[in-house]
Amino acid sequence: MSKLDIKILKLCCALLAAGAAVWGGPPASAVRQDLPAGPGVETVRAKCIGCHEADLIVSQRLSPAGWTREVEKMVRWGAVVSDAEKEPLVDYLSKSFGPGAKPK
Amino acid sequence: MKGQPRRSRRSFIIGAGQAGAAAGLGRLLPGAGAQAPAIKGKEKLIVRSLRPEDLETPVGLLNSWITPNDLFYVRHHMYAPRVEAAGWTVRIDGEVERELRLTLDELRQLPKASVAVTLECAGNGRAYFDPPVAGIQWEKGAVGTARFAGARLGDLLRRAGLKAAGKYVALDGADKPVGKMPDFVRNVPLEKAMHADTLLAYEMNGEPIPALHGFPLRAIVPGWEGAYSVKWLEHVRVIDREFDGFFVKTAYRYPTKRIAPGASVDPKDMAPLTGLVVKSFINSPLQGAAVKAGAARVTGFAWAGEGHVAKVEVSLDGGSSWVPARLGKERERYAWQSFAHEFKVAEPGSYLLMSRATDDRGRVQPVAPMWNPSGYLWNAIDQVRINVEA
Repeated sequence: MSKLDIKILKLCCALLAAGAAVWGGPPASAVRQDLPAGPGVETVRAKCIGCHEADLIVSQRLSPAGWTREVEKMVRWGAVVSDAEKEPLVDYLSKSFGPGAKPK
Repeated sequence: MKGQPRRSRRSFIIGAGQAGAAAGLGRLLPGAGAQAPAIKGKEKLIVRSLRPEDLETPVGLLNSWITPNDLFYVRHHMYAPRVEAAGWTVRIDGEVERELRLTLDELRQLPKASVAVTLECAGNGRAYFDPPVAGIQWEKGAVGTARFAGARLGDLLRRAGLKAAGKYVALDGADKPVGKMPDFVRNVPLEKAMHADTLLAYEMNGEPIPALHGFPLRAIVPGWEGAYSVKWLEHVRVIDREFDGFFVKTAYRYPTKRIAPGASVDPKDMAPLTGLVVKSFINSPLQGAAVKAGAARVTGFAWAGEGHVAKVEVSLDGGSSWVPARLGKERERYAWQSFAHEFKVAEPGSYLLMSRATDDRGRVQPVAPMWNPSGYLWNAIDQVRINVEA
């Protein structure tokens, strides 16, 4: 384990401890945070979840055109998604969270 | 945590980001499991977005004329900033004779005004639009009523001395954009800003404004959609034209023409949202409730932005027939009104209860609110299906 790894591990432990201190118990209800498996999910984890949680994505029901607009807006707002990543990302989001997806 | 800004998880996340280790941390945090944790002090709310915090009140808990602070919905675009009262000031500048900077104590020394206001997120009910639109998928509970107290914005603007060129008042809070997001700045036309009921509030329901609701100072623009009531306010700028920023020029706009569901709208055919529309909801019985045959009671709240609720009618038969409900005694210009109706159901079975409000301008809740690209102003006749048991 490198020094950087140890630093990150320590930081994560601090975050977990801090989280336990400021959070209450489970809420009345919440949108699920789990992302279905599939090509593109790693891009979501690496490029979207830094600024917001998965709940924001999981709760949407958008067409491919709608997801394209959202991804482009997020790229304008600083998401570092390459052109090569964009199409599989929109594809993943549209298939997983399209208008016909199961209820939220 | 009364008056004490909460040490939020956000400050740790930002710290992590600054340390260059943000990528992938989401997976390691306790929030990333199947069931998200609640936000402390808001445990009874539905978490729509954990980070930034967007929290909805279950309608069954919206059962008092004043919504307690711990049950009040939360909506913001960016992470809640941590603002300390010490050293904090609000600045008033732009098209004024003299720039002002006031501390919280100085604001408290100004004449104090108080107003009970129903705040509602413009996107409350967005989840019901078809086709679905992007955004927080609010159902019925991004609304609440609180008594806010503070200084009048108009008093401060008069003290600063308005120049003739001033047309709008831009409001900016301490929340900071994430990444390259545009800053959350809103503006209020001068006439509304000068209205005696438009406040810079430092109290919410008799307490210092809680951190998630904008401590230490929040604009209160009564009767208008919630996004005007900017939280963590620190800068008030009088400007000579509409503010040129995303949250004024693009967001919080509504079509000026009737459009088909799913249609795209030319930006020139969009105008800023202002007042809330006429609306009601049933808070009891709840959707899916089992009710004993015999005497029953339906209750809820109705509001109309800057208008007054003239009547609320309820239907016990899916809208075939309507009867007037009694309106509650608590009545203030910008606050919702309770309604109640007692009825008898002899026959067991499934019943669709409905509520429909009408305001003093003759506006009535529609069967189908107009679809619009951002899913604003959902105000359909409310409905709750119950099962009456023998």
